[in-house]
Amino acid sequence: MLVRSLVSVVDDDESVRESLPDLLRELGFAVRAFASAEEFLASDCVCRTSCLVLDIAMPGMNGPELQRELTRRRQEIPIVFITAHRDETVRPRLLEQGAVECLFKPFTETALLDALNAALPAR
Amino acid sequence: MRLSTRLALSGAVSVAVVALIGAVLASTTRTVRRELARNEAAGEMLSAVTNVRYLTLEYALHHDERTLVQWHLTHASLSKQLVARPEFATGAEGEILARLRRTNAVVRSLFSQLVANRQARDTDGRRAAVREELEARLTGQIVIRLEGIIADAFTLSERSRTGVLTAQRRQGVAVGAFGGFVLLVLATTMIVALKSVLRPLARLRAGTAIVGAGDLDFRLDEASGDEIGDLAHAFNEMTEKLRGREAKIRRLVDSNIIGIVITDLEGEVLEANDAFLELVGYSRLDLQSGRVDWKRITPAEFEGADVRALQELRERGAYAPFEKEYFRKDGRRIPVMIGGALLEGPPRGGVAFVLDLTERRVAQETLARTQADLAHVARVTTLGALTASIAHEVNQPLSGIITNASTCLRMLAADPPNVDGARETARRTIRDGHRASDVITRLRGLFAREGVATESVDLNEAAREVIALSASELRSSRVIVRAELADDLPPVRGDCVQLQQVILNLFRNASDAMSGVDDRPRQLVISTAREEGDRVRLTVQDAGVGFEPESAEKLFDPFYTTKRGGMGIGLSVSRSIIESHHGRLWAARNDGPGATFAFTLPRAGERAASAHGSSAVRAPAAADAMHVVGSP
Repeated sequence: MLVRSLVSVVDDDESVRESLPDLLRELGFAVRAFASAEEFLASDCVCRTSCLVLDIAMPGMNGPELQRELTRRRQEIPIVFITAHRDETVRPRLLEQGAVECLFKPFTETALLDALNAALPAR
Repeated sequence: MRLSTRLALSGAVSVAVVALIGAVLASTTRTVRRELARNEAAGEMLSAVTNVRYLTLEYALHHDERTLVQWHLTHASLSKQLVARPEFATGAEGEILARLRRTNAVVRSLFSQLVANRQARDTDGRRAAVREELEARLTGQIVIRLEGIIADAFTLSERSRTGVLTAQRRQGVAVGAFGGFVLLVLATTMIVALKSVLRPLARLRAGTAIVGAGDLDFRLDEASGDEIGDLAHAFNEMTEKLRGREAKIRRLVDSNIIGIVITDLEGEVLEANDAFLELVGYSRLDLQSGRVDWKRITPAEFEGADVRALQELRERGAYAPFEKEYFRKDGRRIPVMIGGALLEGPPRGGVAFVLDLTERRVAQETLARTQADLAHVARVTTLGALTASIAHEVNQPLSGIITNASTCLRMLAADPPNVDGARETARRTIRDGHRASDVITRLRGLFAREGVATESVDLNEAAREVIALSASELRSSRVIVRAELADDLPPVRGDCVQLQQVILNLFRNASDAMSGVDDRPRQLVISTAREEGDRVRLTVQDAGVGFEPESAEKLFDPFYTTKRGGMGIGLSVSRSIIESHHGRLWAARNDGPGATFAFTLPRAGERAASAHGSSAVRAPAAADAMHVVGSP
């Protein structure tokens, strides 16, 4: 059986945690959803995650802080940021810091797929 | 040479000369006296010897005893005279005197022999004849000797006479010299006075007149080096200083940095510098022909201020600078700052300093515009933040909708279709759609004003702030604001910013209504007052175009406007703000030109409990409302 790449979704918004994993599963990924960065770090998924779909603004540790924490831990996980704040100045900064993509909500299925494809070239 | 030196020198010379002449006079007088004494002595001597000769001859003729006694007396007198004569003690005269004494002794001896010969009278004829003979010879000898004495006495007399004459001549010369000198001194003094004092004094007087008449370039000749020269130098220095001061004042007046006007106490222009003339666009010829009339160049609305300034000038000697405008010759208005002070006369007048405020006014307006722009930017930024927050709220459910719908499609397209999953995602889509709808509803709730922020508002203070805020704008529209704010006005309860927006809106309407008014002052009167029934009233009265009676209520309809480019929102929004404060806003026509807008509000304490809400969320909306009200 084909081992599916694990995509972890970290977002404090419940509707995202409900809808996005279903779509990702339909697209053929294994998915885990977390309500906060701390929850993700505490899980056993950190080492197994092939791609992280990460909300920027969250209570507690936010998206970019999690990114820095992972870098510190030498966990080189490709990250696709998602945000409901359409702030065009944020995207280039995040890409510069190593993010694969930054998607503004609401994003299309195609945009998500393109980002994941970029994050997981070996698939 | 200095005058004092000259005078001292001439004084010394005069004293020396007078002393010399005095000495000469004294000396000649003494000489004359001595010569006269000698002459007298010689005369006495001559008289005595003549007597002796006479008595000798008398005795020889008559042999009278009395004559003999007389002879001896007279001869004794002569001998005494010949002995003690200090007058003839020197030189040739001394020798003559010695010879006289010797001859006299011989005379005496001869006369004694004569007497002895006579007394030894002989009866013997022959001897008598011899005696006669001897007597005759003796007599002859005596007479000869006496003749010698007479001759010598004559010589002495002659010499003393010559001495007297010489001394008298010397005296005459001395007196003549003295007189001549006195004349010389008089003449010299007159010449000196004329040359050194009177003429320069006359020149000085003429110079004073010339300088007094205004020719400060006039200079006196100060080359003489004496006191007159000093005086001329002091005069020239004074003139130079005067010229320096005059030049400074001239420089001040002609510097064209500031307009300077000299007026009489009625404000009539007497004199003005180029800067002022340039300011008001008149020529010097206009000024000289009296066309620069203070009243004509002052717009009607500033006449009151001018009258007050002149009164202050008369009472306190100066008036504080104030801003006014002038009509230029070409009819344009020019903003100025003017201040002035009293000029002590006679005649009394005033000097006014006039500063062109055009540039400052432009700068102020630029600043005001910049501030307005900044305020706009701030509003836009706030609006941007609000928009972003709305977008975020909406984007979240939208994102869910799209993701769920995509998932749904994929589930349906699967083989076999995952109908249960699709149903679930479709349900979630509907749910997220509702969520989005809820966000919009919530947002509308945010904008809908259910009440007003409750704070205590001092309407006077609020009005003053609005006056200050709009001062620049009103001034550029040439609107004069008069505030008649009631003392002890009770506070009202409400949203200060919103109430100020209403006042600002009424100000703008008033200003706009007067924009075409040129035949009367564009006066705006804002007043506050206590009303019956614990209410507070604020009134804004203008002198503008006013409105028709039938449109009194239509004014407050949304989108009703009488202004070109107006949106017809201001009064509508203002009324809704006042009504949300449980107040009333209405319009009334003035007896004269213009309109009056007024609102009343309940004073604080009345219905205070009815207001609630979060001002933090409404703040951007309030700014937005201000923007709407502010639209022309």
